[in-house]
Amino acid sequence: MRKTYFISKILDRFHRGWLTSFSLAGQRTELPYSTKVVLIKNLKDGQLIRVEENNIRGEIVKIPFLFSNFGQHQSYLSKNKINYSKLRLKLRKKDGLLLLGDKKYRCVVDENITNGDYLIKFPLPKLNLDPKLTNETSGGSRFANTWFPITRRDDRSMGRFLHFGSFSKGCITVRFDEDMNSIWSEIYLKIILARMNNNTLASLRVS
Amino acid sequence: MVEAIANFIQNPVVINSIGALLFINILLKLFYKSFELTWPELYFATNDKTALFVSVSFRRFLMFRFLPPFVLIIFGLSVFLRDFGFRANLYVSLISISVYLINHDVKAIYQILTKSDKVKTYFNLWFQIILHLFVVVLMLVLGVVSAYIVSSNLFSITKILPTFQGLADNLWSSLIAVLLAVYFKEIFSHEGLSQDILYRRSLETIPPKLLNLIESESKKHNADENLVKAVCVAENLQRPKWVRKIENIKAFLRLYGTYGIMQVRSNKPISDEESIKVAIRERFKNSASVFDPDQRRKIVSDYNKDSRYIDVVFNILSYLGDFQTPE
Repeated sequence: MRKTYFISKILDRFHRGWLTSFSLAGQRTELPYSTKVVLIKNLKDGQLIRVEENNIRGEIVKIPFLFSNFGQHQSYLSKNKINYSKLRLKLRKKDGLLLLGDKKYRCVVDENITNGDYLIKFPLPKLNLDPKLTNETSGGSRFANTWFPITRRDDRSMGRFLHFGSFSKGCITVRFDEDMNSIWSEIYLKIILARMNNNTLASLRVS
Repeated sequence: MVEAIANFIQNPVVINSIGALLFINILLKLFYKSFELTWPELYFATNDKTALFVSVSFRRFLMFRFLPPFVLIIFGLSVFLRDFGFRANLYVSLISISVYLINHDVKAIYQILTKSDKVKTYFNLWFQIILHLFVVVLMLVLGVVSAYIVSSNLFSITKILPTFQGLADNLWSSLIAVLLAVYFKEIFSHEGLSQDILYRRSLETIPPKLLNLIESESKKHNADENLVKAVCVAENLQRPKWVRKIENIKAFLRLYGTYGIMQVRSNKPISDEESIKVAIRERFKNSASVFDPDQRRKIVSDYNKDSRYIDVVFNILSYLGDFQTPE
């Protein structure tokens, strides 16, 4: 019987939604929150898991324990079942509004984002981020370093992202506003807990 | 009479003793002032990061309370009274320590006993008083030891430390005071003093089986797991393991008090595990269904009414991630 778990306990400001794992060859890979995995084996200093979704699905990686002392461990893996939602976002280019359910978020949209249907893929971690974007006391979000790749349904080329910040070429940027609450955290949690299949989180219609 | 007073003041022992007293007490004051602590009471409070950092470890607590006065007294005695025998050293050492203690621990005990607003009781009241008395006794013992070390030139201490002339020449005093202050400040104010790191360190000191128990018991009683964890971390910060160990002594006397990592009230000793079970069952049951911020605040205030404590709990909750997730 396969034991399916998901990556949890990484929404604090220490992990910011990412868990560092290492392949058997020692290559470092960041796993996002809620990634579905299968536990292969408990090790002395961590756990061996197989990633079940994302673009590295099928890969076996090692993750550390969340806490390990007194000869006891606490795992990052949770058995709780996730009811992933089906999520469809809409982007109105004319007024730069991203619609998520009944909520609207102001965005900056690059002119290269053409009208049509897009897929929102599993996220990538963004390095070298402006610290103000993660400052939660002034509009930032602990998840600001999470960038969601978007691809057109009819054109799978990469390099475009839905993310948080000021402006990025070729991207849809949810605008950072010092006077707003951490809006990106709301968007992040909705998208990260959505699934279309084991490779795609949600869809986005740009009009 | 005047002549007697003049002779007394001109007596080298008196002049040097006054010099040593001023020197030691001013340096001690400057040293602790550099931490901007309203201490010693704030060692136990959650609203001061340095205090928390110091109090988490018994070793750090001892270092912070005893090492600076011990070093400075030896230094002061050596500079001013190295040639004046044990008695002169002992008197000056004990007077310096008494001034220091009266200003801090004795004052704190008085304020606790008179329930002054200026002092907070963070532990069991009597435990807090006993801790201050422990400091008083140990400091006095250190005073005697310092006097003995200097007057008997133990460890060739007078060769290591400067004479008064040497001190005046090269400003040893300020250098050492500054170095000590910078050293301690560095220890206590490196990145570890960011609140987030402090919370994480507290989490790391909680045995994983207790964190696992919080998760399973929270699920069982529909409790807000992160809220329970936040309270647990706050309690663990306020009463680190070494404090809980000492507190458990009262368990032998079967005294009514708060026990375990969650500091649950009981008339008999209970384990950390039991305290988690009782706290979740009696205080946090169905809290997972409470979303109103005021009601959530009330849950914590029912646990501990201190507004600073409540703020700390919600800061920890924010650190952990106060999101509605399927975890």
